[in-house]
Amino acid sequence: MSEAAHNEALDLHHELEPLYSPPRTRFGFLAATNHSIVGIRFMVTAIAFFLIGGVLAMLMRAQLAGPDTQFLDPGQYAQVFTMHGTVMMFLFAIPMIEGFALYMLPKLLGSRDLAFPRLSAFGYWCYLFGGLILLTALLLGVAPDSGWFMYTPLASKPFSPGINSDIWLVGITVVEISAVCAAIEFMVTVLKVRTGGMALGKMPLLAWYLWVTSAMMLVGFPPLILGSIMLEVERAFGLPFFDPGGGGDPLLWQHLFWLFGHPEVYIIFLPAAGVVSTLLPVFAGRPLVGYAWIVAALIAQAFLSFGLWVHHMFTTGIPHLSLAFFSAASLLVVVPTAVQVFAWLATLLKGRPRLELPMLWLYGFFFIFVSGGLTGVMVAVVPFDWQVHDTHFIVAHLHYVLVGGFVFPVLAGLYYWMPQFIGRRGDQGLGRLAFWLIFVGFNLTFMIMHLTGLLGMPRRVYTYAEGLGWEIPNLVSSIGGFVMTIGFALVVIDILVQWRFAAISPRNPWKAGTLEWAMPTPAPAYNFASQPHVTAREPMADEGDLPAKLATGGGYLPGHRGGQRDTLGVDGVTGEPEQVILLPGPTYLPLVTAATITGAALCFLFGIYWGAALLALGVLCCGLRWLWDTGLRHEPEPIDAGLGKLLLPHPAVAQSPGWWGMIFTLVFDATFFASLLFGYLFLWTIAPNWPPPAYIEPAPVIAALTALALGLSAFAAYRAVAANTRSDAGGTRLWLIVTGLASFAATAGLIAIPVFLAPSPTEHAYGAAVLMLAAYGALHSGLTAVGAGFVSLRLARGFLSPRRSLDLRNLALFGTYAGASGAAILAAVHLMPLVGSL
Amino acid sequence: MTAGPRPTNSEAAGLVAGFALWSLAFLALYGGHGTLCAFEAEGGTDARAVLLGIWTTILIAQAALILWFARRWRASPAELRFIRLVSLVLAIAAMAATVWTGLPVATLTLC
Amino acid sequence: MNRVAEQRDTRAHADVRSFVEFRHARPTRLRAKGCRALFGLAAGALALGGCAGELSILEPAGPAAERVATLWWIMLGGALVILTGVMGTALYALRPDRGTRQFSERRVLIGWGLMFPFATLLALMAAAFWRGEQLLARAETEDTIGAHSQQWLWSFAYPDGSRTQNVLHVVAGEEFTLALTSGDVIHSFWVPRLGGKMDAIPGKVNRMRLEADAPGTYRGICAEYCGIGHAHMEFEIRAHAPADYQAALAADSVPGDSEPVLEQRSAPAARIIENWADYLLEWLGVQ
Repeated sequence: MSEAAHNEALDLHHELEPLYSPPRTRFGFLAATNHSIVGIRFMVTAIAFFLIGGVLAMLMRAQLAGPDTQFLDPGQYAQVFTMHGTVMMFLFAIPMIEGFALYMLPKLLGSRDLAFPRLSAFGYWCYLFGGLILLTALLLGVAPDSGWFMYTPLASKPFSPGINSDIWLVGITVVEISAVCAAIEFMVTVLKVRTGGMALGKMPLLAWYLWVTSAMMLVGFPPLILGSIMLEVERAFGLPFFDPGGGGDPLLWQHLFWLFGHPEVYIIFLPAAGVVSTLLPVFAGRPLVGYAWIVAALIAQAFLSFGLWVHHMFTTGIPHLSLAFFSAASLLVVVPTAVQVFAWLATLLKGRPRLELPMLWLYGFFFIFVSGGLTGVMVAVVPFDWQVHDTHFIVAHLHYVLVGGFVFPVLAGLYYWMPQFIGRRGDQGLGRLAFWLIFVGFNLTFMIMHLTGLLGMPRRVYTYAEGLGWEIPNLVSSIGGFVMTIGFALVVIDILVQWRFAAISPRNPWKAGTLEWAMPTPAPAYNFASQPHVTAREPMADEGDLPAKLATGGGYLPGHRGGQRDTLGVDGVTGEPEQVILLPGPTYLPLVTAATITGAALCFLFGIYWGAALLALGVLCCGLRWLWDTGLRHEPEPIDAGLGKLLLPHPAVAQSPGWWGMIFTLVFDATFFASLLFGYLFLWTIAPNWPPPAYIEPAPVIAALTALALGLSAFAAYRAVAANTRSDAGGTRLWLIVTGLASFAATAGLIAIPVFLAPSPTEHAYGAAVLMLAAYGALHSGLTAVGAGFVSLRLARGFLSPRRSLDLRNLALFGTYAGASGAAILAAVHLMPLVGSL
Repeated sequence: MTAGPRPTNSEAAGLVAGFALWSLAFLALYGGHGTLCAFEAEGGTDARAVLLGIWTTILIAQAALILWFARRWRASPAELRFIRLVSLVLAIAAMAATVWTGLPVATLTLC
Repeated sequence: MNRVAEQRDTRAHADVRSFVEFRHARPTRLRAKGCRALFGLAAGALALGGCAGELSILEPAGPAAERVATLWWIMLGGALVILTGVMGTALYALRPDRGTRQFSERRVLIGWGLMFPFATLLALMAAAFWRGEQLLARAETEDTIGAHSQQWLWSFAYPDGSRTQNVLHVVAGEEFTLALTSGDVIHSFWVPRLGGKMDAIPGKVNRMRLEADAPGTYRGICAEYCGIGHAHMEFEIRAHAPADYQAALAADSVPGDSEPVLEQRSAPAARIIENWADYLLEWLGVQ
């Protein structure tokens, strides 16, 4: 770069760095919304939890090293194995993915941040607080102890009277909030917040993987959240959802849990596979074979993975044909995986692979993950699973696919992106030693565990008798476990040593083609001084001097405009620049909101229900305050976005991130509702002790009026949108009032169901299910009413205009959803007894 | 001064159309089977006929979808070629998956 | 003349005996070989116990377990072939051929990525369905034995009204059907040497069929975590020759239910952890 260009780049840097960094005050770091900072927080916290989970595992291996060992008693051992699974699955794997995506996605997509930066920060705090609840429970000896999957009736109140299970249900739900927020954010970001020219077909594969994973999270988490809520209200208030004596069914929990649980493991695997697809071409020296094939395989795999869940329930007595559906699907899901594996192999064969340290981890991944996949095919065969289910064979299988399929690629990525994170890259000796210790230790621990399972050792036993042939395999596994632990400790040491002492890394040390290498290392707070125009899948390979060009302001949106953080918004499919997305600055609001939610959760946990209700209202207030900070009060002019583009800021554009955010939130919500309906119908048809002693009292008038109110509310919301488009402020206000009153009436009509019409929810699962349905409907209508009031205030303060109409359109969307789901609830509640008596 | 070209985000919906039909088939077959067996413990030929009927209907819908997507792909402008090709491939894969998923209904004891 | 006939008889007996021994010895040798291959993969693992064990799936004593064990060996063979193929290819790619490898990418993706798994999985699925159909329980028969599970013992109720606890008496060589129930949480009935497991779920009755080839004792365990007594919730199946069955059953009958025996031994680390947790709670002022 010439002297002048160098100075220009430095000027831009000095202009942008303070703008995108958190405030330099003492507590300013608590207000950070910058994605790199939040992403690293997620990853560091996740690694801390991984180490805790590892210690728990070593406690188990110490206990199982010999027969009749009495290191831990059965109650403590139960807490240890429950927390090992819970910590690894909920507090390590998913947050690691979230953190990595938060950090990497904008860079890969050529953007400056994600779609909703405050949501990222909020997600982190929820994760941290929820994780701390669980960790505290562990330290105080009241950790959950019915297994990480919390089967009922063992996890129900009569058989788990302590607070342990409640801590799992409440703590994990708080952590789930972060996962759902992350999912919504990634979906919108990949769709809209890319740099100019980056069509969907030109996106890095890792972005595709993360997009598909987010879609899976959106649809996969609702059953778990629903199940957790149902079990918690069963424990706290006696609603017998899972108690067969009260018309509930223990299997309902299993269905809801595994509807989440199986996609969960693919949610964990896919991003790691994305890392493999990113690193492999770099180290093979050629682009990945079969880009379109992999995209198709990815989407197929995502869908198919939702059809497998009953393979965790093969021994529950479900009819063989039902089992066969899931056995068939479990076998079928291997095909898209095979497509990816062979694409990788083809890339290796056609390229010139070099065995750098990240590549060592990838080869380890191949061996371990493929082994795990093969045993997975075996257990998909029902008669074989009937023998090995709930034995150590399954423990071996799950560790092969999860450690091989997730931990190894993550470690590969860690070493690969180290220059990005810390700007340094050091000698690989310690790293290689660590790899071999972990690889050998892992196989030592878990390969022989297949035999342990075949010899009949069940899961979750704190000790075993002599003479069954289990002594030597367990001892070998325990020794292997310690070897692995040493290996992981070396990795931690290696990272710390590199952070402190390694040599400064040159630009793009691996000669990679993706955009995260087009910026200085370590990455600056703003990513790109100006955003690139992209025409190829590997922009860095395409244009040699891209970094210099961007650093000197030769792309879109150079520098900043009026001290406002911003990034480019594009058309979802073609990548044509469409809008300038205005990004919020640092704020304490995410922290305050997360703390309020945690406070409400803790109040509920300790039975202070009025406190929980009060703080829940506090959360609503935080949300409204948050939403108030969106949009513009004046009509904006088009902005010069560079490279000849004049674009409007996002509040004045129809398909802004906020609109897509509402769409995806409703997808999540609809899945939750579908799970609730499924639960209701499942209890009706399958659960024992039905029909209930009494059905809901017939009330056709109230039902009809409620339905009318729901319809009117949605209709009025759309009329308000139309009025606003005509700049008819008076008309808009009027229709908003109608919306508010109609949804208020609908809320009352729905609340009337459990209060006046339905039988007691504690007597029979029927009443409990009706209560949940009515509560869901009332919540949505109630929120619509509040929303109508809020939007009226926004209208009065000048936030709305024919172009700036997001508030109204989102209200109309939400109101329509509330109306449709409310109508379905009315039908399910008022009409089902008529069908049932046929 | 421009607000940008008309968004083509509906193309992304085409990506999931094939497997959305597969999901429907799966739910209908699994749920239908569960319901039929719950109300009639034996599950005679009538029940199997109903399930096979559902299966065939969805397969026909998928075949139609494939033909439509194929025509769309051949006529697509350059920037939409990729996504329409992937949509078509997925529709074909979804139909294969539906055939596979329905095999138990055609071959095994019903209840 | 008689001596020659005698000698011929002895030789015939010897032939039959050695043939029978050969028939039984061969599968055991194969199993042993398979086990050794498994061990070979685990770096430096010692294999002193082999595959035998009272709870071993690989030492079947009933037709259901036998079929699954055979299926396992076939699947293991197939898995080893595929793993070797994939790893071999990945390692082969490291050879310095320097870009001389030419092949059709599409052929690899369609042929290996799609066709190969489809074919293998279809065959496996057909075998799986066929086996599964064979193992289905038929409708309720006269001779269903009730197996009731509770924390942490098993009680069995026979068609003739007798009841036993933690010991199930059956006739060897005859299929028997169990009706599994639970009085509290989910348990799972599993006798590995005879067949697969089935959960006992409160509010439901699950049926399973089993058969023991020969008289003997076959250990069983609960295979679903059911609380702190889970690891000790064992039982056994005693298979008798038809003649001995009634007597054995009568000898073992118990009149009613008795309390489950829960083994509790002191655990040193447990006490330390408890003390520490108590200390922390005290310091926080909670207790």
